[in-house]
Amino acid sequence: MLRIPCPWCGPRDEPEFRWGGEVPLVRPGPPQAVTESAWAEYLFMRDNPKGLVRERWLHTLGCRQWFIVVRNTATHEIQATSALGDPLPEIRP
Amino acid sequence: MSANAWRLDSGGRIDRTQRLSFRFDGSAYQGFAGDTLASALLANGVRIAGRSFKLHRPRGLFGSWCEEPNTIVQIGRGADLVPNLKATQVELFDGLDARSVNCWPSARLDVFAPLQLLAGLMPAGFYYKTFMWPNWHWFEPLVRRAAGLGVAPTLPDPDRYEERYEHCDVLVIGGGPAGLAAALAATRAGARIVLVDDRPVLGGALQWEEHIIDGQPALHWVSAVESELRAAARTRVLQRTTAFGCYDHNLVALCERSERTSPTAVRERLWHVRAAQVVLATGAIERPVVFPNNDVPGVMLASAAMNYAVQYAVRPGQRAVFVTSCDSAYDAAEALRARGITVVAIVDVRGEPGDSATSAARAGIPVMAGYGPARVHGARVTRGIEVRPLEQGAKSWRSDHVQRLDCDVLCVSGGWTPSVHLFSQVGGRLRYAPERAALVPAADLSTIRCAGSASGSFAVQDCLSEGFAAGREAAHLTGAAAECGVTPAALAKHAGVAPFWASPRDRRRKAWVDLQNDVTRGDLELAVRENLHSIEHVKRYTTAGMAVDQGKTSNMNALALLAELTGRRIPDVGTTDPRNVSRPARWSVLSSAAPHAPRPLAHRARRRVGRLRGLEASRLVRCARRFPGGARQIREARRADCGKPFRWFAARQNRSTRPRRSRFSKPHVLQQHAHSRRGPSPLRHHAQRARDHY
Amino acid sequence: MLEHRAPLDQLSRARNTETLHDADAGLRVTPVTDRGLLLLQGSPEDAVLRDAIGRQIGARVPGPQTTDIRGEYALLWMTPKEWLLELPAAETSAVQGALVARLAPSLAAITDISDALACFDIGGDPAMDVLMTGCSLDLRPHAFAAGRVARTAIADVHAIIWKPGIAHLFRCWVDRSFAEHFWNWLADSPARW
Repeated sequence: MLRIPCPWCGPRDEPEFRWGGEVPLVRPGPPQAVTESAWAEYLFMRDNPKGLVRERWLHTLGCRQWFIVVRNTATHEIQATSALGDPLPEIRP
Repeated sequence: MSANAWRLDSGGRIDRTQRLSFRFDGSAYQGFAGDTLASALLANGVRIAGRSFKLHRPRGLFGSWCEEPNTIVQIGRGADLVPNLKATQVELFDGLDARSVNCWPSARLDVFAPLQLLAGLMPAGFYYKTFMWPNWHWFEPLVRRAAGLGVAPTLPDPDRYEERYEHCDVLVIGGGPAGLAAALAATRAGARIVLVDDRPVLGGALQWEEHIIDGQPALHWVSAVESELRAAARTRVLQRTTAFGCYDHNLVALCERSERTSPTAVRERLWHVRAAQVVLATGAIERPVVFPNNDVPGVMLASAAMNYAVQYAVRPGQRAVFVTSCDSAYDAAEALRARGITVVAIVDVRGEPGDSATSAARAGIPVMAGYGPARVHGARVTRGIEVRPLEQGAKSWRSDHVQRLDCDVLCVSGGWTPSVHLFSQVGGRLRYAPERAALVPAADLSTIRCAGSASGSFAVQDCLSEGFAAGREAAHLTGAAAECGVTPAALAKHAGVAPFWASPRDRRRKAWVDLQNDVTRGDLELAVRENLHSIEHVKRYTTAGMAVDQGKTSNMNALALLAELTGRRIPDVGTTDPRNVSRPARWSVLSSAAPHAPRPLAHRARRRVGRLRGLEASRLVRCARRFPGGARQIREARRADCGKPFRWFAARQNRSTRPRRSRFSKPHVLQQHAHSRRGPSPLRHHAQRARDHY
Repeated sequence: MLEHRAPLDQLSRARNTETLHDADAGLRVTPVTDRGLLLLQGSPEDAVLRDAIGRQIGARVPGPQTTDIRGEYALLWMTPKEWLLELPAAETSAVQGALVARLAPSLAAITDISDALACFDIGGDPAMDVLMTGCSLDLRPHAFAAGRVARTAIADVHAIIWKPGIAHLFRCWVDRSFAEHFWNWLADSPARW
């Protein structure tokens, strides 16, 4: 069970959170101009790298805020967190 | 004249004023307060205390704590039935009613015993080949009935179980010399600590090994440390508590067993401890040696024999022979001799055993250096052992000269295996240290460090200094930097060991590698002949290192023999992955269901285990998304493989690994294992195949 | 006309008790019925909001995880844009009316949620131990100091936990539909600890 430092509430256990996918994820547009493959790319394709990744988490049972976590998918080490609206945290290799 | 040929007249840490009656397999016996079920059985002369898993061979006590592979019992009846306990870990109480498992009507007289005669028909994995026609499921109930480890209770568990969250600066796991020293240092440094020990008394091996620490007997030092720890306001000491899982971000799951005081009292408690730093002082388990007939009752670990004699004042036998490749067995021999047990000889496989042998010889114990065990005599009880001189390097016999030594207890010691299950669970890497004949932690993790025997330092003076240093460093890292005082020091003891896994092969007789699962050396050879070379495959095919025991005494020998059979070095063979819940824990405590909590219990328990494992078990289902092409391919894949909409991710993975849905089809499992730093496993293997496909 | 029922009405009838007091362990659990709750929503930078709070109850808008206590009033941080004003039940509608008037120029909103949550005071020496059997937060005094407030899960239900002072006292709110469950869980605790 991870211990995730919420930028608002401090470190909390993982069951309090919801995982929200990698960022940045930009929705293609305008809708009329989007090709099927670009749409599929947006819907289904993720980098899913081994190593550090920026992702969104939602503190469901706490402050109910989305925020950004830099997490290592191989070791689960959490390198940084930041509130939405703040600049995206750097990934330090 | 002693009232009992097996119980020593004096000594031991038992309360002789408090007699306890108990039953085993229907017969009534008596023991003392402070006994375990195992020591009480031994004191009553019960030699056959269990039957083996597959062949129903008679088995006796082999270890003295969690390493015990043979004596699995269930206690109580009806709703109070508790299956799957090791007799060595059951504290004796008045009215205890224990039964051996996997035999009927008793371990001594087992109607399935003739199965032994069919041993030739039942090599490793025989059920994969024999009962396939017309349908395995026709035979399955029968086979499962004949082989098994106890009966699950059918009535609801009436007891109370609870859970508890805890946070601390330093969590010390293990209450032996290293753990106590670590806890002492961290407490003095001012850290908030939790010390966890799974035995009823602190001290670990200091309870039966004789050492001088800081100029006083070891037990005096233990009680001084214990009172210092208990007096410290910021220190919590948890006894009878097993750390069974180490999870992400230093979450450690503990199971605390309470003494039963009232029917409403909590029976067991699940602790979720989140520690800033963890010190693993989990000790080491002694390793047997593989040689013909080494499963006969009366063959036991040297440390266990010493434990029974010193802590419980029980004679493990009247005439003892030691077979060893390390120095610690000499202490055991000396302890037994001092308690009036005849030590016939110490058979040391090393040609030049060194100082320990010299002092043993001076004390009058015959030492046979350069000899190895050829076979054990006896069927239901050990009657003697044949020894033969070994070549240099101990790979073959030097001569045909066989010498028989009569004995009724054979104490074996092939060195020590550090208990690194928790360390491996969190991704700690191991390396093979030939000079210690053991797999030891390669390097500490940033927040988890090993100390003492768990890190391969088996001598007591090293345990104390390593433990103390680990506790001090861990505390310092959490900001507690007060003066810790002087490192406790012990009189140095020898802890030399030479790698010796098995006697030269004797093709006419079975030599047992894994006692709990009835795996012989021949089974390993068969697996290799059938082209199973990966340790994970061999484990699953032969069942070596499976079940309750998880190979506590057998894994290292199986590994070394496999290396020998496949012509590889031990580090190249690798190890199996220790899984979490490394010691059996009950569904009830995992679910920690309060009486009003919603059932079903197993569901809650699984959910709880899932929560402990966190991301690994549940969340990453949404994380594993990697596909080769555009929407057209995805739609086609969905149509071709799945049929159901929205199951596209399962479908993709299936196509790349195997044609039909299987337990390997969950992409999050695949992906997770592919990316985790945990060692090789079949899942990882599949995941790699899946990735190679792309 | 609809009958008004306070969150704990049902509970006290079922249990026929007002206070759970375990003399041996020193645990005391009291359902709190005389406090009202106003949920304040707005931007922490909103000068109107800050001014309204300051003038009405004399409090400052508290930062994350903290509270500002002024006499009978306490303002608890909930989320970056929400605060809970805890006050005597009798004054709830009056204070709400006054705040609505003061907040008229801003986009801030104020809602009476007194009846949405059930409130319990959990006090006595073992209070922390009892709560830590069902709450993964670190409630030890040095980590959860006086004035700290947190939204989390206790006994598997969503809860707000607040430590008003240095004494061994925690005030917890749970959704009113979980009041019975929470009470049962607490009532069971003396045997647990």
